[in-house]
Amino acid sequence: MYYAAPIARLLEELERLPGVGPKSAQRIAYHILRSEAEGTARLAEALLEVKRVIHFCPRCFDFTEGDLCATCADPERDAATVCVVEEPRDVVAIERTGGYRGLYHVLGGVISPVDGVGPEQLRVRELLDHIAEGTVTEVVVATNTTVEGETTALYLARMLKPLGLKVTRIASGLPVGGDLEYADEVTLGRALEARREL
Amino acid sequence: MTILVGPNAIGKSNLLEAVTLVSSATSFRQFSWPDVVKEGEALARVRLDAERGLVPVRLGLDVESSGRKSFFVDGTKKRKASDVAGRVPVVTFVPDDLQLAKGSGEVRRHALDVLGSQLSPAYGTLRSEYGKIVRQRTALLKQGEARRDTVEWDEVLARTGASFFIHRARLASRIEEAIVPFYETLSVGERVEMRFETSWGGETRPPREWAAASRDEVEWLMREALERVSRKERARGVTLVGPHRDDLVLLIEGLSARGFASQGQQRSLALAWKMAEAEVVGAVLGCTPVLLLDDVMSELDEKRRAALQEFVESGPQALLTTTNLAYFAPEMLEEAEIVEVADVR
Ligand SMILES: [Zn+2]
Repeated sequence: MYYAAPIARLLEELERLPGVGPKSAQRIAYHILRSEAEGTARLAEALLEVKRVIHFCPRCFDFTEGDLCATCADPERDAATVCVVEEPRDVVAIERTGGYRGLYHVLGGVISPVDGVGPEQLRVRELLDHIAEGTVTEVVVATNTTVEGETTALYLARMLKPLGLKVTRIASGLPVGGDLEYADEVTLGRALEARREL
Repeated sequence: MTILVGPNAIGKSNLLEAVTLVSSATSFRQFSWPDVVKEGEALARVRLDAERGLVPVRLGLDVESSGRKSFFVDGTKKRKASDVAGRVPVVTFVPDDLQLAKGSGEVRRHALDVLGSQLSPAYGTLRSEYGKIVRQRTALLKQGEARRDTVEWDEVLARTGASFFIHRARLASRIEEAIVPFYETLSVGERVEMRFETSWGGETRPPREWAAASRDEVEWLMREALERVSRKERARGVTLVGPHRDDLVLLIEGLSARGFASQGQQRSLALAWKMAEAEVVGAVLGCTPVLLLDDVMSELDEKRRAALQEFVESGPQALLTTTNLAYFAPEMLEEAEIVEVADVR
C-alpha cells in the first residue's frame, strides 16, 4: 500500500462521488491534509448538516429544510400551474430564469426501461394526488429533451389529458438531447414561455 | 501520400484507427471505448493537427480506462461526438469493406451512418437517439409477462425513426448518384442500382424516392407496421420494425449483388462505393476527405489497383498501410513518403 490506512479510506470514499476519479480524489485528500483543522471541521459539519436537516418537501418533492419548501409555502405562487421536472436541480435552473410563478413537481427521474425505471418508480401517483385536490389547471412538462424525457412527457400527457387539464411541453428551442442544466437562462426562459400543448 | 510499411500485426492499423477515432468518433473495426486504452494505462490520448482549406484545425480525444471520453476542437472541450465529426472528414477503405456487396444489411447501414454522421451533426444526433430508443423499447418488450404498454416508445420510435430514415435515404440517394459512373468505369459498362428493403414500407423503392417522401408518410407507415407486428414483438422480445432492420440492396444489372456478385464485382463495388463517399463528402462539405487505406492493395487485382491509385492521387492526402511495397506502382512510390514501421504497440 502506498497510503496510510486512514488516507486510503478517505480516498475510497471520495472516489465514490460523481465525477471524482482517482486523481481528483488524491488532490482533494492532500488538500484536506494540508489545510487547517477548522476548515475541515466546517466541511464535515456542512456534510452532516445537509443530511440531518434536508428532506423532501411532501408536496413537490424538492429538497427543503422546512415542513414545506419555500415555493410551496409561498401564497404568491400560482397554484393553478404545476411544472413537472426530473430532479431538484432542474427546479434551480427554472427558478434562475425568474420567469415562472407556478409550483413544481419533482418526478425523481424519467422512464427508462434499460435501467428498470417505469412510471411506478417515479412520483406519478403523488402528482395525480396533488391534481386531485382540484386547484391545478395546467401542467407544464419540463423533463429534459432527451429520448427518455420526451417519452416521459408523452406518458404524462396520456395520463393527465383525460382529467381535463391543459398539458404543455417546454418549447423545442432547447438543444436536442440536452439537459435543462446546460441550457442558459435566456434559452430556458424562452422555452418556458413558448410552451406548446401536448 | 504516406505509406506505412511493415509486417502484419505490429500496429500499423492502430495508427489509422487513431485518426478515425479522433476525427469521426468511430472505427473501421469492432471496438469499445474502454478497449481503446492500453491495458494498465489510465488514459489514451490522440491529438491531430490538420488544415482545412488554409485554416488550421486541431482535434483531440481523451479516453479514460472506464471508456469515458472527451473531444476537443481547437482546445475547447466538446461533450458530444457530433460536435467533432466532419471537422476533418475522412474516408476509410479497409479489407472488411469488401463485404459491402455481399455482407448483411448491417455492413451497408454502418457505412452510410458513419459517413452521414460526418456530414451532418443532425444525422449523428438522430442516429444515436434512434439507437437509444430501440434499446429502451426492446428492454421494455423483454419484460415479457408484465407486457407493459409501449405506446410512448412506439410514438418516439416512429417519429425519430422517420426523421432518421429520411436522412439516411437522402444520403443513400447521393451515394447512388455518385457510384453509378464510378462502377460503370470499373466494370466496363455495368449498371449498379440501389433499393431500400424495409420492414415497414411495403415493396422496395429506390433511395431517391424515399428521400423525397414526407416525414408524416414514413412515420405513419412505421406506426402501422409496429401495430401489425405487436404480438410477434412481445412474444420474441425484439423491436422488429424500423431503420435498424432496413437493408440497402445493391443491384448489378438488375441482379442482387448479395446473391450474385462475383469476386471481381464485389471488389469493384467496394472501390466504387468509397470513391462515391469521397465525392459526396466533397459536394456536401466543400473539401476533399483524407483517405485512410488499410492494407487494401493486396486485396485488389492489377486493374483495380491502378484505379485505386488514381483515386488516391486525386485527393489531397492519403495514409496507406501495407505489408509489401511491391503492391504499389513505381511512379506511386516515387511520390509517396514511405515510413517503415517498427512495433508501435
Ligand atoms: Zn414543495
